[in-house]
Amino acid sequence: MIKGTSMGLINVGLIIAILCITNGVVAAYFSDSGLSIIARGKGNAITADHDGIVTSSKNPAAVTTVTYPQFKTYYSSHFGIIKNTSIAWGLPLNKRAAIAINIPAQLIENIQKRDIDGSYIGNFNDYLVVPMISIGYVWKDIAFGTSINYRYHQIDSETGTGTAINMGLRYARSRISLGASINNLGKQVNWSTGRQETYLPTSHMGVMVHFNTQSVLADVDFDHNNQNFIVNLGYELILYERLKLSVGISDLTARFQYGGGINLYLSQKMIVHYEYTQHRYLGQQHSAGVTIGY
Amino acid sequence: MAIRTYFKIHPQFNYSDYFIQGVYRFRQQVSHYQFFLMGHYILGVYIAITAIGFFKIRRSLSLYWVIMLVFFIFPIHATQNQLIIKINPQNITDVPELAATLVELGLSEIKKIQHPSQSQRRSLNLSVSDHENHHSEITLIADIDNQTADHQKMISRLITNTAIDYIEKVYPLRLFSDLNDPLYEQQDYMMELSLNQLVSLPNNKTIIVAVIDSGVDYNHEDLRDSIYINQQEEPSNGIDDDNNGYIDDRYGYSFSGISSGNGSPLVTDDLGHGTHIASIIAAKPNNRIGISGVSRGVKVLPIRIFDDQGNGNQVDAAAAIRYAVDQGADIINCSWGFFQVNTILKEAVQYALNKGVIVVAAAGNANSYIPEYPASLDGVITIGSVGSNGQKSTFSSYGDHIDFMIRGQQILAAVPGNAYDYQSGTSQSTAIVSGIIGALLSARPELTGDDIYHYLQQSTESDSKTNSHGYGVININSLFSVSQLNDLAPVFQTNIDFKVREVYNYPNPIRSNQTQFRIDTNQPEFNAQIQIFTPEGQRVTTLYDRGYSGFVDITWQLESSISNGTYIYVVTLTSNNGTKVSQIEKCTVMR
Repeated sequence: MIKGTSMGLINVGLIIAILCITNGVVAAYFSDSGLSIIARGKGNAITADHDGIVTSSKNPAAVTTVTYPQFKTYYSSHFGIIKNTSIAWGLPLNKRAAIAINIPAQLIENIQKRDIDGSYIGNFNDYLVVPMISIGYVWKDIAFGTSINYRYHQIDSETGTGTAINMGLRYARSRISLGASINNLGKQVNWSTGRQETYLPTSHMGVMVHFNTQSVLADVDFDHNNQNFIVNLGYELILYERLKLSVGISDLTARFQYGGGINLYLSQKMIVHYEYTQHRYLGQQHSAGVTIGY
Repeated sequence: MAIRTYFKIHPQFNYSDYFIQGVYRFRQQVSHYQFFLMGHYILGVYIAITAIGFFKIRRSLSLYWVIMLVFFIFPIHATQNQLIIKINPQNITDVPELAATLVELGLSEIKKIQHPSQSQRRSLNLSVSDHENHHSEITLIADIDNQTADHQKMISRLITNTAIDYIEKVYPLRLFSDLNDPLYEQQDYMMELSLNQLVSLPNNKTIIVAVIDSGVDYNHEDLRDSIYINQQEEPSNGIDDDNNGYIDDRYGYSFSGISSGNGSPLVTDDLGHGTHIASIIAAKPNNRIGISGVSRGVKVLPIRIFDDQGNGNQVDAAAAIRYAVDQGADIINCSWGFFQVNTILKEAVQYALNKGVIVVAAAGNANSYIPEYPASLDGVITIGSVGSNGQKSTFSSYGDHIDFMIRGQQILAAVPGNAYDYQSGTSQSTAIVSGIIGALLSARPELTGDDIYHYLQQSTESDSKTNSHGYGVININSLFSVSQLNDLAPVFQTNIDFKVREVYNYPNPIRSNQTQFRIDTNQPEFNAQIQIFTPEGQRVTTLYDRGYSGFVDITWQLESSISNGTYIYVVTLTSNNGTKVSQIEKCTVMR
């Protein structure tokens, strides 16, 4: 009964929230929620996951799974074109609450500038930074979380800024975890060109089932900008309590990505991460990082 | 109750078909997204009800799986919220009124599709010059503002305007391979036999191929542009306008029963055989519809000699052959025959040969050495069937009269009703050879039947005939190594590495609602595909076009909903010999 109640509340909450939000909102084309550090190595199927800061980027309620103070940093290269980096800090406030700050950034360099006749004029860069602060609280088996992010985007000499809010729930009991979140609530980006972009939110629902050393993850991302959805699947295996391996696929029908990850526990609070994913058309993505607890 | 009564009254009605059609119709109305979202909303509501204690959670999950099962069984693509409107300039009486009607119905971003360029569109400007140019076509594509609008009502209202020829919802298309015909990838014989190279041969003369058969669905979506039209004949006026002895033969003629006085201009295909044959030869390539025919330089002259039961006789066939010759056919395709022959048929074939018309006929599907006619007549090019392994098909007849073999098994081609199907037989082999000859003649109109026979012979592996394979299997690559056809070979550039000289978009950053992608290569002709992705790898759109003289400019019309930012695009180019090259670049939207 408790399982049904929790998931039912999550779904009904989502429905009401989406219906309220989507009225009268002009949609931009896509959301960039994935800019923040994410677990591509497990198919990004992390809405119900319990991986602390990583998971909180998609479901703020998961920040409550940060069980010790920690720094996390990542660097990733996508398709030989895009560079991403992230610095994050997580802190449990008490047994029921935790907070995390995550500062992901993206750089695309040397974009050719051409005029209306096709003549080459020079190069410019595209910078994007989306700092985010998340806070979560656990009540019985249900965790609640929210985060707010600020977006700074600079393309050539133009800039765009905006804020957004993410909200999430996570229910965990026995071997099953359920998660749901709505991200990019109220996201609006104002550009120096005068253009104003209002994004519709994305919503996410996920489940994780774990058996001793193994976990299976699945989630669905609804992109209300594109009226599209993405199904993600992941699998995680812990070996010798020091090595966590993962594989995952992220929406093979649209986003076309699959890959795997390795997390090596040098000590209980020091973890080295590496993830590799392959995009069917765009090529390889590599991501490496480290988590240091104190 | 009413439904049950209906099925009792109509026992022939298939209940499962009714259900499936209903689900299909429903799936056609909603997108993947809407369907999936709907499923999860229902699941959420059910689980909420479960929580109150009305149902068991197992039932909720069962319902969920049923919904998802239906979703995956019926994965129909959603229609886009766009309408395509063709306007007849001659009937426009009030330009402002028409424009006002379009806007009033919630249509925005109305753009004019430019001809002949496939990809360029510009903003709608129903100017006086357009109005006065009665010979130009105006085809508009319009976004529907209100996504919940009743499209059918909208179409019904617009179609009453006499200025509008047709109005339809825009459906999506997908490119599968180097030819952009969506079913091309299933035409494995095209690649296997290198027939795709023929599609790019120059079209120096339109060759008429008479398909004497069970008729042709000349309105088929993939054939209607490849049908020979007798311009001298007005349709359905009951008058023999061109004085050739046949009334209303604008789209060919039916000789089925003409020996009994029952000829007619109705060449519709009740059996599907003739349509299949015609489309193998001439289905329009690179039109993003259906399949690709072997030759783009031919027109099919439909001539029917079989009734709807598949019955025909040699007197009718003889008259059909003479008609084909007199109408100017260059090639006559005979995918039929019999073990005995009437003199009248012999004479008709000789009449064709004397006029320089090439007659191609099927060996037959009896797996017999007994010759069939007209295949066994002197001067006729006789075709047998092999499988994809090059071995004689079990059904294919054989004997000394066989000239060449080519694949005739599992050939995908058009059938009546805008449909496509696989068929096998020496009929299909014959059609492929007719297509090959048509492509060669179109590129080199000066060639004679003897020349072509000689070149086909040189393309095979054998210098002498065998009882089972004739001269053997026609090899297209060898055909172009024949010295007399060498001038056609450079078209394929098979020996040149496919290189992309330059790929970029301009202007960049994109500050308006369109940009051009410039692709410069070392290949005279190629197919270009551009897939545009977000930095996270989510595909935004896909653009297609064909490059000529080494380059192509492809226009991307940006919707207003495309947000500012940098996008990654993958350019995939396919040469005529199937070589693919790709390049990744980036473009930036800044509006």
